[in-house]
Amino acid sequence: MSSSASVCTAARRDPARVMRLARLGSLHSCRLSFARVMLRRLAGDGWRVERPTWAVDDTGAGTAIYTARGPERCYSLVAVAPGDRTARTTERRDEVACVLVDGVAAPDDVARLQAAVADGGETRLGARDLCLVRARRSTRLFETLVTSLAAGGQPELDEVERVGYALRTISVHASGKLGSADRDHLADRAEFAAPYQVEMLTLYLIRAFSVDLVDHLAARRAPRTATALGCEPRRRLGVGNATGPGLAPFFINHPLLADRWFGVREEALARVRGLERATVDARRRFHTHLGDARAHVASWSSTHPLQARKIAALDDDLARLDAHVEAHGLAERHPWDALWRWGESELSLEGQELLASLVMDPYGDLVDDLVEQMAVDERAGGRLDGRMRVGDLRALLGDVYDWALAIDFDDPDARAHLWYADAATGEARLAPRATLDPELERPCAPAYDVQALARALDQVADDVTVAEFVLRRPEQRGAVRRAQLARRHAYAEIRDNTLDADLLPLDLLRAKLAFMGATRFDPSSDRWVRVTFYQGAPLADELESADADGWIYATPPAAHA
Amino acid sequence: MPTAGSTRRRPPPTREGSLSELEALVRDAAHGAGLSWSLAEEAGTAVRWLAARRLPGAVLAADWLERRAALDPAGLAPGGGRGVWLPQGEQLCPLLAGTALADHGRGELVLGAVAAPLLLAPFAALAARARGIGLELAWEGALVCLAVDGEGWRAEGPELAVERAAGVSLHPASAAVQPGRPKPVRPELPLALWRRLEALAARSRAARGDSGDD
Repeated sequence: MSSSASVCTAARRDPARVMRLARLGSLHSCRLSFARVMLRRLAGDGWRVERPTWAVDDTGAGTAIYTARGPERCYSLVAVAPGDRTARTTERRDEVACVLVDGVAAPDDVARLQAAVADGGETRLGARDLCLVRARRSTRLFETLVTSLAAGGQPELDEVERVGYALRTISVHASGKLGSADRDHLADRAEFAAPYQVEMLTLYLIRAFSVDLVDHLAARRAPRTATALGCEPRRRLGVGNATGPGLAPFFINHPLLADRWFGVREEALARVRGLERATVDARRRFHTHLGDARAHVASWSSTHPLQARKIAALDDDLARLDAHVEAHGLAERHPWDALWRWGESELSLEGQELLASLVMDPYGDLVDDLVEQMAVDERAGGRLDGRMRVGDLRALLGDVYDWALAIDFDDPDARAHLWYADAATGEARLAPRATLDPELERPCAPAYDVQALARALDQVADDVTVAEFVLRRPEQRGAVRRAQLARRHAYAEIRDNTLDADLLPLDLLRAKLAFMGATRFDPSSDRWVRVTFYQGAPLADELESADADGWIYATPPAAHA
Repeated sequence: MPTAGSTRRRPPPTREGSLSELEALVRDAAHGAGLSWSLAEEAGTAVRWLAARRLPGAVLAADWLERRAALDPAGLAPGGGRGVWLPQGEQLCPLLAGTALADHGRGELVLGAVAAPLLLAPFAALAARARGIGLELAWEGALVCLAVDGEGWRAEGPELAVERAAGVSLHPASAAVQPGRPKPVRPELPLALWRRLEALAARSRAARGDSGDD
């Protein structure tokens, strides 16, 4: 069953062009990104957010509960903050543990979760716990916000915009991790049908908590002078996130998801490029988004030299894009395809991929239904086809993995790295090959594995079945299954060497985070990147009247000046 | 310490978890016990299939992985003719035999001695789906019936969880089994079993510092 069964395939970009690390490392959020899917649902289905419990002292210690009520079910975020007095270390003092619970959180849930997330013990979640997020106060902004508000003033909007959050998440556990509910338990719930909706709801509620916590601490510090955070700076606060190598092998470990997510994004782009005309309304919206994106890029900074260069090039790209659209308009036939072709020849990878996001933006009616295809039951993809003949498998490898077979793995630089799992967290990490026992290497390099498979097939006759071959070489099962899958799923493989000395794990992280809906990618090294979710998004009390899609690059009026 | 003749013995402590963490843990444990990542991955999937049906896959896998580490892997793979698979050593590894029978899409097969034969069931379920027929696995004192969709099942007999069967047969089902995925469950396993799997899994992980930053 091909991922493209129900979708027109005309004019999708060639996977050999799309599935490259450099391009993955230039991806931007788009209207199919999971944070935006969640926000459209919250606004569209009339969700309300309540705060039934606020038991936080003047140091920030205590518990708060937020309940999001949808048409059929509700979910509660239980936020537990140790505060100054109960935390064991100063670092812990600035932390908060937030658990999204299925339904209403009862008092015994609160006691249970307080114990579960306490210092020192093993963190275990239960059947109703959907997601645990640990977050920390931003060293750059949290105290600044409290101080300004306590003195009766508002923070500098520029600074709020630049940092983008008061709380930054340091770990996210869901989908069965630490004993939390498996996705199977939520399978029939429309609100969680798209990927990562549990995490996105959790982050959205944490954002509400972060603003309330800032207001609360300011009021407690100076009850007579303190004021509440104004609407505009509140909107400019999202939730921060720092992501590292643990997430990097995601698309390598989930080739079916990679195929579906990238395939759907390409389909959305192809549908827009296929339009014969752009309506006045669509053109107007494109102009607005382009203006917002320019302001957003102008206020996006990074201390990482590579990203700083990419941002500068993107800034220039957008100026030229603006001028091009100004000069040529979008009134002729196939305007988006023409614009796209211009962009492909004129813009940097960052510019091209942002253009892809921008041209989709006016077309919710045309592309939003694709989100339904982004959730995949990976178990359905799995069985190895043992009846295939070795000759056909060999041909398949030459066909689908020509790029992989061309890599010279005798060059030590081509195998400079080794992926392994960290003992404490079980998460993926990267190390120089020479520094670790090779037995610990995890299979995160399809290109290398496919070459090993091709070698193993060398002396095997064409008419031997694959079943017989893997019976003798069971260690090759994974590579065989993967190759059979890649034949049916064009976007399943990233066509680069993930062991190379020049590998930037950032590229892998960027693509994943863009699909999640992150903005303001700010790498702090080649392996860690800081991002923001929901910056500029409507607040919980604005959901009813909000434009659920107009916020993504919206910048405060000051930044437009 | 409870003394002999004291009141009822307290059951060992258990821990509830999720199927996906059990699957990941068994995968890492299997690799820690010496299996290739390819087989380890399938071991995880197989135990999840069994645990989702409240069948004792996790304990059988832990026992087998611990025993297997001391055996010559060459003796564990099936050999022999088309319809009969015999161990080259004392017994077949159910993971090697299971993956092979799924790959071959076998509907009828006689196997010699198999360790932890219940671990064959998830693979026979794959074969049932591939062939589009119900299948039965039988050994002395146990019968496992697998529905045509690879999801539905029925298991009976006192020897389901036996650590070794002298012979196992696979054949088309004599009666239909209800298809359909089981309702989601939460595996509740003895804490000691989680710890055994964690100890094996630790062998496939490395303690090195690559800390985060902000």
